[in-house]
Formats: sequence, C-alpha cells, structure tokens
Amino acid sequence: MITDTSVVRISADLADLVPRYLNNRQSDLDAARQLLRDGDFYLLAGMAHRIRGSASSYGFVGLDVIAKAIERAAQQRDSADIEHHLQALERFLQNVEVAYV
Amino acid sequence: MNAEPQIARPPRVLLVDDDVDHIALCERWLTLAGYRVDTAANGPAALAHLEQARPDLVISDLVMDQMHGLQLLAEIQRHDPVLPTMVMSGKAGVPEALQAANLGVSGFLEKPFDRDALLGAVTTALGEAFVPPSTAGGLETAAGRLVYRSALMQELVARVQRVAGGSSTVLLHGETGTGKELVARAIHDLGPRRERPFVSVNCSALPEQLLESELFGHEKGAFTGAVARHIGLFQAADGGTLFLDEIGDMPLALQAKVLRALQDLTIRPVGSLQSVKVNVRVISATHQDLASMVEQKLFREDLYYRINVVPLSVPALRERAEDIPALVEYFLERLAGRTDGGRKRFAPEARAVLLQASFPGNIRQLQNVVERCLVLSNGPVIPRSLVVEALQDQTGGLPTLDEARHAFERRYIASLLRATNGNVTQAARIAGRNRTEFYNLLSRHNLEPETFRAADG
Repeated sequence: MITDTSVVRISADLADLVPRYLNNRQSDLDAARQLLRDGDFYLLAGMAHRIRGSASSYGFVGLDVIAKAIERAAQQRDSADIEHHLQALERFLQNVEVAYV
Repeated sequence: MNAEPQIARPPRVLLVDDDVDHIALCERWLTLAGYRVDTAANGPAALAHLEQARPDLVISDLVMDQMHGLQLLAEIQRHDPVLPTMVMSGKAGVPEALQAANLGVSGFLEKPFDRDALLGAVTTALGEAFVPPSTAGGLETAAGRLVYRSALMQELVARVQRVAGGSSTVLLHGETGTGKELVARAIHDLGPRRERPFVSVNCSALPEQLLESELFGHEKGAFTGAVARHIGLFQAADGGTLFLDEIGDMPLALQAKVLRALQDLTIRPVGSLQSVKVNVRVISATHQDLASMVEQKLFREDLYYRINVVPLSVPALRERAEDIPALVEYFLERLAGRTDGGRKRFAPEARAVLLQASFPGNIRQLQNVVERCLVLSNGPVIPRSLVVEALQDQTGGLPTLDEARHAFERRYIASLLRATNGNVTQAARIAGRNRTEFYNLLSRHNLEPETFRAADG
C-alpha cells in the first residue's frame, strides 16, 4: 500500500493542471465520505472509477491503486473497507509531493 | 495553380467527456502535439458544437450523464457519416465495443491511457484514416491532381517545377498506371506554354502508317483513303506540348522521321513537298527500358538521346505507399460526384486492406478499386469485404485480351475514319474488309462515320 510520503514525477507540461486536479480529488474525498454515510455505493464506485481513469494518466502512481480499491470495496458494499481506503486517499492527498520533469 | 505542397492546417479534434480533469489532460496533450482542440462536457453540448464547426475527428467518452457516448456516435453517424470518431472508456464491455465498431469508430482507447497511446490512436485515425486532401501535397493540372505526401513524389514535383520553365525534351519513365501523362501535363501547365495546346498521342495504339499521318498530317490524296487534308499533331500542338506516350512502341522507320522533326523543328506532312516549321516541346513516356532497347537495336540511339535530355522517373505506387491514404481521400472526393449515394468513407479495417495491397496496376488500379467500392457499397461506410472483393477482381489494372482487342479495334477504326474523312468505302478497303463487315464493326463500336467528316471535306 501507499507510504506516507509519495513523490510523483509529472510532466512539467501539466504543471498548471495539477493543483486543480489535487483540489478536485480533495472534493471527491469529502463527497465520498458523504456518499458512504448515505450508503450510495453506486455513485461511490462511479467516482472511484473516474479517478482511476485519470490518475495514472496524469502520473499519480499509487492514486490509481487506491481508487481501484475504493471502487472494488464500493461494489462489494463493504463500508469498513471503503473507509479504510478513503483514509489511504486522505493520506495520499496530504503527503503527495510532485516533482515536475 | 497550386505549385507548392500546401501547408497542413492543424487537424481539429472535438473531445467529449464529463470528467473535467480527464478532458483537460487530453486537451493539453493534443494541443501540445499541434492539434486544434474543442471540448464538450456531454453529448448534447457536442451535437450543438458540431452544428457550428466540423472537426476532423470526434473522441468521446462512453459513460456520460444526459446522453450515452454510443447514442452520441449514432447521432453523429446519422448526420455526418464520413466524420471519423474514436471512443475512450474505462467501462466498455464487449457488447459496447461491438456497437461502437458497428458505428464505424476509427479507434478505441481504454482508460487509463498515456499520452503516447492517445497521440498514436489519433495519428492513426487522422493520419491514415482521414487525410483531408487540403493537407496532402498536391499539384493541380488541367487533367487532374497529382496527390502526394511521399519524399519521392516531393522530389519529382520539385524537378517538374524546375524543368517546366525550359523547353528541353523530357523522358518520363515509369510503370503503367503511375500517372506519367499527369506529370507531363503538370510540366506543360507550369511552363510558359500553358496557354497553348497540350496534345497527347499513344504510339502503341496505332499502326505505323496511321501514326505517321496522325503525327505529321497528310495532304489530300497522299495515300489511298486520304480524301482530305489532315493536320498532324505536331502542327496541332504548335506553341504547346506534344506528349508521345509509349514511345518505345514507335516503329523504327517512324523514329527517324520524329528525330528529324525534333532536330530541324520542321515537319513535312505525308504527300506534301512543303516543310512546315513547328514550335513544339516534346515530352515522351515509356514503361520500357529504352537504353536496353537501344542496345538491342530496337530503338534508335540518336532519338533516344534527343528525347532524353531530362529523364524523370515516375515511381510505382508500391514505392510511395504512404501516398495511398491521401490518394484514397482524393478519389473518394473526386468520384463522389460521379456516383450516386453522396460522400462515403472506408471503414478502418477496409482502409487497412487498401494500405497493405500491392497495386501492381498502380494508381489507375487504386482508382478503379475506390470507384468500384463507391458504386457497390450500400451505406456511407465502405466495408472491408467490398475492398477485398474489388482487389481480387482487379487483374493488376490490365485489361483482358478481349478488352484490349476491343479497345484497339475501336481506336483503329476511329483512326481509319479520321484518315479517310469518314469515307466508309475507303476505310473498309484499308482495313481489308468489305463494306458490310465494316458497317458491322462500326455498329459494334457505336461509331458514326458522319462525325468524322470535316466541314470542308
């Protein structure tokens, strides 16, 4: 799983897009917790699927793994597992460091 | 006249995706690669966009709110069946992939994908699947357009542009169907003689006596059947260009007369005592190895050097296979007007077959295949099966013996009628046939003697 400090290497061509990308994932995290409270596993799985579709494309190695785990847990309606992976997402967003290459 | 290859405009791509971060990423990659990118967040927005501007390619996500990507593609297919489309999705199962394939999509990208995958797929869809004729190199001539992107053709066109301004004789060498006459036409159209006639004659199509009469003309009574004075092609092309196609097939005796015409710039019509000055640029063409024919004494060495001041080689299509997509688009556009059913395009797998075909009959064969597919396809997207069938039925662009015999017979009879001023009795005598047989021949070829009678006959 993900360590507390994640350094990801991202193309400098995308530098101006990255802050918004990470902000949007923070919003996703907040929304995901609300969806979990509401028991809306379908929307939760969809959101995680969307993150998975773009994370590795941007270069956020590790984020795609977390998103995949959230998607799978949501499909299995496993609230504890979802919470566990959302915490991993929170740690990732708090600790991620971007190195532009 | 479009003498220079045109500068490609940036291809325009419409991206449709409801994921703002993903669409921003794809937009950035494509923009950096030189594409002009428009975006739409859902299907209805994409359709509204398409009403205002037509892109060269649409790339759509599948799972979107308001309208599913397949529904969007179906709408696009209905309104603009030749507009190439691509799908990107992380959720598509086999049924959706099949539906997308049925809608003629040019590519399928599975999310997540990286920059190279996106650019590769777009290049395939745009660079090979769809080459707007305006982005390919092109040289307009009065007889059609030389379409090319290959370095070989760029080199040839550069040489054509250089020699066009002069008056040296040019010898074009290339296989049958490579477009030698179009190159000759380009030399004429780019040069100072462009306002004067371009006259073409196929030296292999006529027997010696008729070819001589065609080239130099004849006086009334010069030979049996010469019932009127006839102006030859050297004179008809005065001030312009005379194109001697298949010069390797010219009989040796006539070669001497052509050599004299080229050396002295005068000709003497058959049966005339008077020489006539002519001002003609001669461009010759052959698919044969004239140098080796010279060694075998089948072609006059002095004429060979006289016509070969500037030799130009016209490449076979297999040597310039990268031109096939641009040629296919050109023929699709040019032939669409001639066939029913409006504009059509090849399905990606059909295009792949075209790109891999060998085309021994060169561009002429490619044109025949495209035309046949256009005529025989029911829908706007030409399927692979039609291309395979058309390629199998093409015999290298060569006619069958019966077709060749028929074509020769028709040309021969037309020449006889021209030479005899439409006099059937004379023409039949030269042909060694009685009048009844000759009328049967005329009827078979749908030729009317009256149309060959000159007004001053």
